[in-house]
Amino acid sequence: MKDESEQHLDRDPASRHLLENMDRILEYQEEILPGEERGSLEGHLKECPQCRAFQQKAERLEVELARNINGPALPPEFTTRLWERINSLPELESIHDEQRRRMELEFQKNSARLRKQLFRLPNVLDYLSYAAAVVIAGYLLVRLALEFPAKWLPGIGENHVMLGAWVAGAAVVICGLAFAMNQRWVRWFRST
Amino acid sequence: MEDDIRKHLDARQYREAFELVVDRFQNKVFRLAISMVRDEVLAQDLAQDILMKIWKALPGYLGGASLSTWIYTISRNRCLTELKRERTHPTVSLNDEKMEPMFDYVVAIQTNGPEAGAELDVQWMLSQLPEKYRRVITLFYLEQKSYEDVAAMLGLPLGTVKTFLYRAKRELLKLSDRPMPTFAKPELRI
Repeated sequence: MKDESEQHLDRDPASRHLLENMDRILEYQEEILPGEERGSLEGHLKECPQCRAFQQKAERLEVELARNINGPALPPEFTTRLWERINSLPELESIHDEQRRRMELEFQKNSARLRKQLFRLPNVLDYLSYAAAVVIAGYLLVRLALEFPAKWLPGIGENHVMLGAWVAGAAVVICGLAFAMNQRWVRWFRST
Repeated sequence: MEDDIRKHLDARQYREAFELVVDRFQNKVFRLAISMVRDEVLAQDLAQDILMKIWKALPGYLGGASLSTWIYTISRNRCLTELKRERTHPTVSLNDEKMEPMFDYVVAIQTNGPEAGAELDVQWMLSQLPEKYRRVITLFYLEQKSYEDVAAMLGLPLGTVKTFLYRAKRELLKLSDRPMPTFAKPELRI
């Protein structure tokens, strides 16, 4: 959006081209104007007093900025104070060793906590029961896969043991899944 | 430039490495702090803090980023923390934007001659710029017009620095056309 000064320039046809050239002049000054445009702008600046006046204003600003923005220097006592502070600290090696020791301690503490959680009796029993459920279900499914195609549906009716095994296997899997899901729901509920 | 510092670090000669760091970076860190917090005294304190942080962290420097990038990142983060702290616990500083016109007035009546107030005009114009432009243009002139240094110190791409600088100048030229704000003479109350 154009501000008041730009709107004023916009209304004056003679100055309208200055508005168009402002960006180019600043880009020229910043040396970011592409090479081919540089030549044409230099030619224009020689002929156009308005654009030349703007360029001179931009150059004046450049000089003013360079003159006014000059960093105050650090006082000589800055470095002395810094070294005094550093010398008052324990040796860097010992700071670093202390940091490392603290990190190692933290790591060991967390590892121990994790191990403790991992090998708690209820958790171990959980893992064993999951494993047992998987083994039983796997065994039954293998049995079913071996015998089912041969006997097909009539076979199931004749072999009650096989049918029972199939139902038991499915029940174990369903119960296991329900239990696992339940545990997850309980955890989710507790966390929220 | 950083090779000798790295050699000392590899040899665990931290004091020697830090001497070189201080020698090469203390002024840059200070100027970066000035461009961000706009307060010379505070910038000095921050530069001390930053260099202390660098000293303590030196053994942990793994050489992933270049040393200058690492130093400027620590510096910027420390300054940003300070700026955040100031926003939550504001204090009146001599460089406070709201107070500046008052100081301008005082300086203007204390100085005579054609140069009186000239410097303050630029300072006032700079204070009107958006933060990101002001930071770039300040650092650009503090760093002897080095685009690369400004980009490295502020962690910005080179093209962005050039664009910000160009936009800042455009804003400043607009501001230079406007009349300076006038402030009523402060009343003296006893």
